[in-house]
Amino acid sequence: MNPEGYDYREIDDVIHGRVRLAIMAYLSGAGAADFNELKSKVGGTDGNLSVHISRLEEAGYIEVEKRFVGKKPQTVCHLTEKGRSAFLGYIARLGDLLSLKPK
Amino acid sequence: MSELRQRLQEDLSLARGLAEEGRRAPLIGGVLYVVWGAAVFGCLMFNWAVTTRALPVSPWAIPVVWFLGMGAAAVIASGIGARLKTLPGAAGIGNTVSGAVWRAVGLFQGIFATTLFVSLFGAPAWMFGATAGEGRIFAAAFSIFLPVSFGAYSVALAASAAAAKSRMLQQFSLASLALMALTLALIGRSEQLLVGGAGTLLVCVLPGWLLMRRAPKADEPQ
Repeated sequence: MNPEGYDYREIDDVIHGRVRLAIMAYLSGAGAADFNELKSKVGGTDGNLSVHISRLEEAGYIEVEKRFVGKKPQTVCHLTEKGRSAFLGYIARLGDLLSLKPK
Repeated sequence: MSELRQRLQEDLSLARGLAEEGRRAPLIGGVLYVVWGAAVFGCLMFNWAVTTRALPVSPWAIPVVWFLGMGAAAVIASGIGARLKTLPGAAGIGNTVSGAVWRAVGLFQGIFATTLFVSLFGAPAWMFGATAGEGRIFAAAFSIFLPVSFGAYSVALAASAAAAKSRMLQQFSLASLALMALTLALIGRSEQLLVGGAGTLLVCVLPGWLLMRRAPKADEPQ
């Protein structure tokens, strides 16, 4: 517990971080999105975004599908049920910490 | 307000904004509504012209034009569909559900019409041995196709509306239900084909055009 009364251990490390939070937030609404779409919403470089996607995939929060559209490779990220639960839990925890209940 | 609290509030606000943005990803399949709607409209008008003898050609031209028209639409739609998959929002829930339900409707219509045709006439034998009586039976049976199709369109539009949270498509779904009743009431009459054509413009081409206006373009910043 820090002096302000927040217990950081209650926050999901995997989601906490602007880029991963943004990825999870966008996918919570869209369900799935391809790499370029995520990049346009979240920002950052390809390499940076790939690292964060891999971290979320390793945690089982998203599933990464690689496919071809015509001859072009496409990477599509799908939010998993585990990821949705984790994201909702994260938002609830954030709301609690701020004494704001999410609507 | 502490720095930490401000940072957490910004995170929460960012998450809410992005979640909302993801949820509201626009439907991108409008161009497919237009392609299929225009093809069905063209075939229905040809069907009507031949049925009423406004166009003096053999009635056997009707199924030929339908199969050619639908085949051409399928080829065009397939090419466009591949390009649509690269647009932002293509993998989202709204577009996934809408694509799946419209594919099911298209398959249903194709199998319905083909089965009806083959079961009444048999394989290519119809070209040589079918009688006028068989043609009339087919025409009568085929007249159920329009009400059934508008019923299927209504379901597909309602599912797309729910998945994409689109009030506009919900209203077109209701219009399609009304067209189902109207074309059912006109069963066996040539006017059914005209109403069907106008209805196709109303519940396929028009919503497709409206969706196209809202859809993201491939080369625009997202």
